[in-house]
Parts: sequence; C-alpha cells; structure tokens
Amino acid sequence: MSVSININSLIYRLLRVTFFLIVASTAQFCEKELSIELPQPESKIVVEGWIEDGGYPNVILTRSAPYFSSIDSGSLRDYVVTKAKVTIVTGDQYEVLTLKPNDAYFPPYVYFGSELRGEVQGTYHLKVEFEDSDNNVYASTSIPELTEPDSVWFQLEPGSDSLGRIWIKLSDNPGENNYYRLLTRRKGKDKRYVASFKSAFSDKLFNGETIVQGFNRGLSDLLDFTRDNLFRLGDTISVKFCSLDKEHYEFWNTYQNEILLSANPFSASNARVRSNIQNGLGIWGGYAASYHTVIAKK
Amino acid sequence: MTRKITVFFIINIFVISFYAQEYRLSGYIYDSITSNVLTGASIYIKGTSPGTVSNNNGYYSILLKDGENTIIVSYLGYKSVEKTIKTATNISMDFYLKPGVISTGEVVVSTKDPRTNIESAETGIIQLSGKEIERLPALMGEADPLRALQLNPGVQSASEGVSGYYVRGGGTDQNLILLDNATVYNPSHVLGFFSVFNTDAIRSVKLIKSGIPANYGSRLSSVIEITGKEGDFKNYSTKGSIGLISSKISSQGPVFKNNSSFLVSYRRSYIDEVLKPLIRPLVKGSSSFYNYSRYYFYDASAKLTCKINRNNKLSLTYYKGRDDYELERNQLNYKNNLNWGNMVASLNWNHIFNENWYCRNSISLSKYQFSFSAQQREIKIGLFSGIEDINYKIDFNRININGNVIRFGVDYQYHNFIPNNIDAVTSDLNLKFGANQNLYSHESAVYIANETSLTNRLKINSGLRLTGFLHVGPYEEYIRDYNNEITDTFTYKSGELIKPYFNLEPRVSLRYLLSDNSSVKASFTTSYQYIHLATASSVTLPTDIWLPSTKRIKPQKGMQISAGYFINMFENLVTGSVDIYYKDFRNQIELLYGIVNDYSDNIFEESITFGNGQSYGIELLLRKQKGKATGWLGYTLGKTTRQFNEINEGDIYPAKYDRRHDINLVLSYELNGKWTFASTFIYATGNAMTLPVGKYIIEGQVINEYGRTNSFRMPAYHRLDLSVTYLAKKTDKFESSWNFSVFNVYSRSNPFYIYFEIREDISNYYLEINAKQISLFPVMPSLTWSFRF
Repeated sequence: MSVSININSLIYRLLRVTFFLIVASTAQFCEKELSIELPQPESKIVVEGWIEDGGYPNVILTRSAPYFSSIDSGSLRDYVVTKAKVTIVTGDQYEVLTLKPNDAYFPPYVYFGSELRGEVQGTYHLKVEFEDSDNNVYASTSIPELTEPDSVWFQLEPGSDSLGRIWIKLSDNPGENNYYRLLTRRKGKDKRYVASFKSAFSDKLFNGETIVQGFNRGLSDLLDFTRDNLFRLGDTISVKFCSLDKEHYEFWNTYQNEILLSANPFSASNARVRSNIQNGLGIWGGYAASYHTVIAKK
Repeated sequence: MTRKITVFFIINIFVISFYAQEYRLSGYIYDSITSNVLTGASIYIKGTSPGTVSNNNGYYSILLKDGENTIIVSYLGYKSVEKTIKTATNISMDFYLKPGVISTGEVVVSTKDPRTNIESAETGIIQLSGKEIERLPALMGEADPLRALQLNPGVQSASEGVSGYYVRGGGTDQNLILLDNATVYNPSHVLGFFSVFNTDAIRSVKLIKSGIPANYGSRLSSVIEITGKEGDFKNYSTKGSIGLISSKISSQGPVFKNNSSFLVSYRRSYIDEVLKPLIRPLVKGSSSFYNYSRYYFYDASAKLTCKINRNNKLSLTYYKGRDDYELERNQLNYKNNLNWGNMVASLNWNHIFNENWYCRNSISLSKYQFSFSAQQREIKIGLFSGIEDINYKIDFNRININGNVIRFGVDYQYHNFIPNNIDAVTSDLNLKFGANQNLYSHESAVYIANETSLTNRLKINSGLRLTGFLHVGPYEEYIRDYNNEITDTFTYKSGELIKPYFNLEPRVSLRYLLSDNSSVKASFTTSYQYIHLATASSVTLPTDIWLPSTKRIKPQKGMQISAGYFINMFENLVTGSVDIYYKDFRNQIELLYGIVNDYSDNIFEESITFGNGQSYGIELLLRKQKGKATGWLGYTLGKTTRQFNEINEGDIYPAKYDRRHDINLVLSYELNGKWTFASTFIYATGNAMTLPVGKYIIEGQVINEYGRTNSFRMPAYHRLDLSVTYLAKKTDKFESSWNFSVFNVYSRSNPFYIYFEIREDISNYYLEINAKQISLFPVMPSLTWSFRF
C-alpha cells in the first residue's frame, strides 16, 4: 500500500505515453483539421475558493469559456469576474471580501478577507452576488479536525544521486472516513503551493492504519511527461498537508481524473468533475492544514 | 405476461396432431465431386409446399404421402435431382448433386435457397457462403466474413476498420460467435481491421439477429455460426493467395478415401516486412514511427472429419491466432508491447439413432488472452486480461410422425475470467494490485423447442430455455458501509457458491404463408446474458475486459419483438423483406472512469455503473442471388438509446453506436467465365460522442465542461469499393486468378476518432484548442494472386 499512489502516477505516465504514441503513429495515416459546431454553452461562474483553519477566506472568480475560444492576455479580461459581491457567512458572523491583485494565482485577482478566520469544526457559506441575481452562486463547506503526519522527509529515488520525493508517515484515525490533500512549495522557485501528482486521497484502503507514502512534485502541466517531477537536492520545500471534508475531496479527486483522462481520445468520458457550487462550477473548500519544512539533502 | 407466454409454449411443445398414414424418407445430400455434405439443400414433394431443408450435417427427413411421390432435391449452384418414389415403409435414401456448370450463365453464389426466405419460420437470418464473401471487394485483398455480414441490414460495424459489430442496437459483447460450436471471444486482428476468420477455411457463415432458437443462448443480440470447411473426401488440393500485406495457404484431401478428410490453413501478415519499406517514402515523419514499431498477425486452423459409418460422424476443429505489436522510442527510453489472441478447439460427434432421431455432441475449449506491457526507464507495467472456457453441449432432434420437430438438449460451460491483472515493477519493487483476482463460474442451460406446422400455411417454432449461472470461489468480497467504504472482507473457498442466478427464457416465432411467394413472420425472444464486456474506449480495442455476473454485476436481460413481410419475385429470382424490431435491454454496464481508474482505491468491478437500453427500427432488403448480376440493397432506419442513473444526469441519451441511417449496396457482375466485377457502397450516420463544450481554469489547469452525453455526431461514414477478378487459367488440375481491389475509391476521410490538440501556456496567457480528425484508410488499391492445384 505504502507506494501505490506513486505507482499510480507512474502508470498514468506510461499510459499517457502509450496513447500519445498510438496517436502519433496513426496520425500519420491521415489527419485533418475538423471544424466542429458545438452548442454555445451558457457561460457559468467558476469558483476557486478556500478557507483554512486560522486563515482568511480567498476566492478567485472566473467565467467558463466556450471550448474552442482562444485565450490570450486580451480576451482573458472577459473571463475574470471582478464585479461581484462575495460574502462569507458562519454562524451569525459575516464578511464581504475585497478584490486584490495577487500574481501568485491565475488569474491574478483574489477576493480576500481580513476579519473572519477559519476554525476547525466551522461551517462556512459562500454567497456571490451580481447585479442580475439570476447569476448568484452559493456554496457551503466545513473544516474537519486536523490529522498531522507523524513525520515528513525527503528521500532520494533509488539509483539517483540528485532527485527524490517527499515522504510522509501518517497514522490514520480509525472509525471515521478521512480525506487528505498534499501540496508543496519550493523556496525561491514556486510562487504558491502546487498540488502534488494525485494530491487528493482518502483512507479508503488504510482506515485506522499507519502508512508510509511518497509524493512527487506537482507540475504546472501534469501531462508533460518529458519533464521530471521530482525534487532536487538543495531544494527547501514547504509541505502543506491538509484534512478536508468528503465533498471537497470529491472535487479534487474527480479534478485529477479529468486532467489525466480527458486528453486520451480512447477513453470513455463518462466522468465529470464534481462541484459543490450551486448555479456554478468549481470548489469552495475548507482545509485544516499543517506545514512542514524539509530541506532536500542526502 | 411472461407466465402466460410460458404456459402457451408448454402447451404448444406438447401439442398432438393427427394425420393420415404417412411414411418418412430420410438421408444425406452430398456434393457428387467431393462427397462433402450440402447444408441447406431443399427437398420437397412435387405439387406440395412447403418442403424441408437439409441440416448442418446434410441430413434431411421428410414425410411422404401414401402412394406415389415425386421428390425434388435442389441446391443453389447444383443441378436439381427429381426422383419418383413409391413406398409403404419408412425408407432412407442419399442424394448426390452435381455442381452446376458456370458456362450456362447460372452464376450462383449463395448457399441459401431463395425459398427459405418465405418458408422458414426463422425471422432474422443472414447466411453467406465463402464464395459469396470472396466476391466482395476486399480491404487490402483480404476477403472477410465479418465485414461481409456488416453489409446486411441491422448489422453495423463499430467504426472505420473495426470488426466489432452491433446487431440491432445491441453491444459488441452481445454477439455469440461460434466456430464449429466453440466460442470465439475476440473476432478481430489488427485492432479490428480484419476478422480472425480465413475464408479459405470456412464453409458458411450464418447470423441470426431475431427469433433466436432455444438451442442458442448466453448472448442477447445475435448468433454467428461459422462452419469450418471439411476437407475433400476424394481428392487432394491446395489453395492459396499472395497479397500485399498477407498471404494464406490451405490444403485439403482425404486421410482415408471417402471416409475421412483433413483441411489445414495458415495465414500470416507481413505488414512489418513488406508494407513498411513501401509506405516509408509516402508518409511524413515516418522514420520516427516505423523504425521502432513491429506488427504481425497469424492464424492457423485445421479440421479433421471422419465418417465412422452411416450413423456416426466425428470432426475435430482447431484454431489459433495471434496479434503482436511492439513499439520502441529510444529518445524517450520507451518500449511497449501489445498482444492478443484466441485459441479454440472442438470435438463434434453427430449420431443418428434412426430416421426420426439424431443427436449432436460437442466438447470445446476457448481461450482469449490480452496482454500489454510498457516500460519507461526503470518503470515497467504489465496489464493482462483473459477468459478461458470449457464447454459441453448435447442436442437431440426428434422428428415426430406428425411432422413436428422436437429439439432438446443441455449446454454447460465453465468460465475462468481474468478481468484485469496489473503488475508494476520499479527498480526495487514488484507490486500486484487489488483487482487481480480471477472470477470463476458455471453456466448451464437445458432447453426444449418444437417446430409445428399447424396448417399448411402456419408454422410455429416455440422454445423454452432454462438457464443457470453460478459464481463460485475462490473470491474475496468487500463489505462496504453506506459511504461505500470497505468495512470488512469475506473470503470464499475454491468452488464455494457465491451467487446463483436462474432464469427462464421463452421464445416463439411463427410464419404464415400468404401465397406461394410471400409470407409474414413474427418472433418474440427473451434471453439472459451472464457475461459482460467492460468497454473502456470509444472504439473496440482488445483492452476491453470480459466480466462474469457476480453478486454486484447482475445478468444482462434482453427482450426482442420482431415482425416482417417476406416476398419472392420473378420466380424466386429476387427476394425481398421488410422487418421491424423493438428491443429492450436491462442491466447494461458502463465504466465510469475508463480502464485506468484509480488502482489504489478501487476494485475494478466497482468502477462499473448499471443502466438500461432500448432500440427499435425498420430494415429493408432486396436481394438477387442468381444470374450474371447478383447483389443486394439494404437499408436500416434505427434508433438506440441508453439510460444510466450515473450518466447524463440520469436522462436518456443516444448510445454511442446509435445509427439513424444505414445503407448498403452490393453488386457483382460476371461478364463471362473470365471477368467478374464487384462493388459495394456504404453510407452510415456518424457515431455519437460526448465532447467538451466549455472550459475553465482551476489551480492553473484547464478543465473541460462536457456537453450532454453522446450529443455530438461524428461526420457520416460513406465509402465505395470496387474490385475486378480475372480468372487467368482454369483446368481440372490448376486454377489461377488475379483480384484487383480498390478500397475507398473516392478517398473519403472517414473519422476513426476525433481528438483535441491543446496548445497552452497559461502563465503567459495563451491557450488554443483545435479539433483534429484521424482517418485510417484513404484510397487503397491492392492486388492479390490466388491459385489452386
């Protein structure tokens, strides 16, 4: 069990390569551009929002674009939502967030809070309001109890003298279903925390047990199999280990599958990315997180 | 409803009718040159209608009226025999028919007597002979029985170059393919471009798409019965052909003259050796692909037949085929290997007790295996799936004195499924995944069927099939809570019963003769299918995985109602039919995430979702089997839908192979003894598929927003093929002919699949998506030389 998630990522990589090569080899028989008339879907509000134990809420708002539309820096403006009223409600408290530029994110505008902070066991409601109230979106999330890994370390890959992965030892709580997510940030290299390959996982097969698990570095392009997805000796790595609720986990789990499977022309696309946003797409999720600094050395 | 119908069948099966004093004439019908039996020859008494046809063993049995009877025995392509018989007892008599001489202009390619179009009570039957198949234009010179069947109404190919096929809206797994009574699981080579059946080793191909008789079971949509060719009992001969991508050779002859014979055949492709250097200059960037890939297939078959005596005949059939594909990319340190193949063997014993009773025994083995491995640097993964069956069948036929034919028998199979065995090796670890348990099961059936002519015009075929399926251990069952989390594991011992299923399948078909040359027919069929094919892709690939019914996977259930009008025109020269059908499917399966789901926290069986389906349509067929010009025109108007709670928000959606229009035109013209021309034209509505309609960005990744399931149509499929055959030399000792075929004459780019090329650099605000269509075969001429000596 301890290494299966990493093996999965490798299997994905190999299958990606296989399908890529099959496409590349058959493509030479006869390939042509196809103009497809797709129904123009209604542009929907897309939420990428999170609230952490002890942290302020963050919400990035965009709109979905027609599939074949090109995006460049000019047209991008059309998809960023800057004129919404974003409110977070918990119990009898609420806060209206303010829009601030932040180039660590894409698009680089984040609705940010400064009063209300996340707490373990809290439930947080998100309300995004527009002039036309038909476009309003709503969502709710919770912050579960934090499960911290027992230890976090760097280890060189067998046979490599410079590249390695992050490993954790985790004691899962028995008697309840737990959902986890791991992100990393290299000092001086990443602007923000980047999700590791297959970052979200559940305790489905190790409920109540202690596991040892390795994680690859997240890539900005998960499908780029030519780049290495490991950490280098000398990297200072901040590891963010999160506990999340079931709905929140299901979003990231289906999100990972979608990224891995969507580009494969032979796969059946019966899967859809789940969302907890009413009248919109994306995720509004609560995290309980612990942070661990690891220096990559032998 | 079902109960009432069942009761009706039981009454019907045991119906007793009284007739005047009659005698029975029975025996075999043979080809006078080779001594091989003739299947489907028609025997009737002059002045009466209808008669009967010889069965698969060439055996017939017919009632004679008191006094003098004139018997006519006819078979397409042979000279009819007429004989007057006067008898007061049951007698047996064999007939030897002489092949018709081609110079008379009576070119006949079909084994099916046109009279059976109106007289048989079977509704949806397509029968083709090896000769008929060989006359069609061939893809790269390879005549193909499954491709030929797909040119008939109600039978559709899955997509460009795929020999998986759909019958009246049923899935590719719902077709039973029998080669001399043994099941063949994957009928295709080269990812489906050719079928595994070599026409030189085939006597006939028969497809039943409705009113499936009770002696067949275990699949919902169709039965294809492929009868291997028996060797010549008198003379030795060798036949072969040399084509651009493959060659084949077969030999036949007596082992002991007149009572035993053999036929062996072998076919191998040499795309890798021959095609590669030919194609290399023609395709762009070919060096990157062809230098590192290798592909070939072969198949071999053998049939031994032994007539022990008049009442006993033994035959042994063996088939083995394999596809092997290898790809290597040095700059990526990448290597991959893909191979699959079938093996079947069957031993058949036909025994005649007396002129009223005969039985057929068959014991067979079937094996299908698929394996895939890929390696990049130190990581290696392997994927292996397969199925192994042992099958025993016994089938009794009793012809009653009143003309009823009663058929009953037993069918037993033991299945071993290897659903998806995954191995992964890194430099220091060797891992197996949770999904690798084999699944074992027993499948059996008993059936009884009765064919009764209630009046001269009305004939009823009714049958009952009782089927049972037992999923047995060893097996590990995972117990889950309401959150679908595993709470416990239950282990079953070897042979321990886990889940039994028992079902009753009533079937009936009837024929009413309107006149000497027209009839109406109707049929009602219910059936259960205990095995499923989990299809992970939009095209039929050998990666599809066979699964048995288990506690969680319920058996598929099907029902079909079909009715039609059949007419023969111009003295049986032209046959025509109009057929309508309605089908209902229950417990259909789909994979939610495709084959590469999350191996770590999913047991393969559990990524499956269940739903129902429906299909209905109308089929028209006009066919001319005799004369210089032969051929047919078929048209199908159909609709196929699916409904799954977990797909498309639970709403009904078109099946991916839902096809509104399907047109097939097949023409062949024999100019003289030397030149034959043939053409086929196909038009079919494009396959349905799901496409993304929108996109959005989360954590810097582009995520697709999908449209309604299968709401998009690929462009229509159409194609014209032409061929010309020149008989260069024909003597008793040697025959040589050339076939020139052009596949896809006007080079239509038919879609194989559609994919999206995404160019992105999100951090620099750039994203562009283009749709690309991949087509496989542009215009493809081919030349084949065939010989016989």
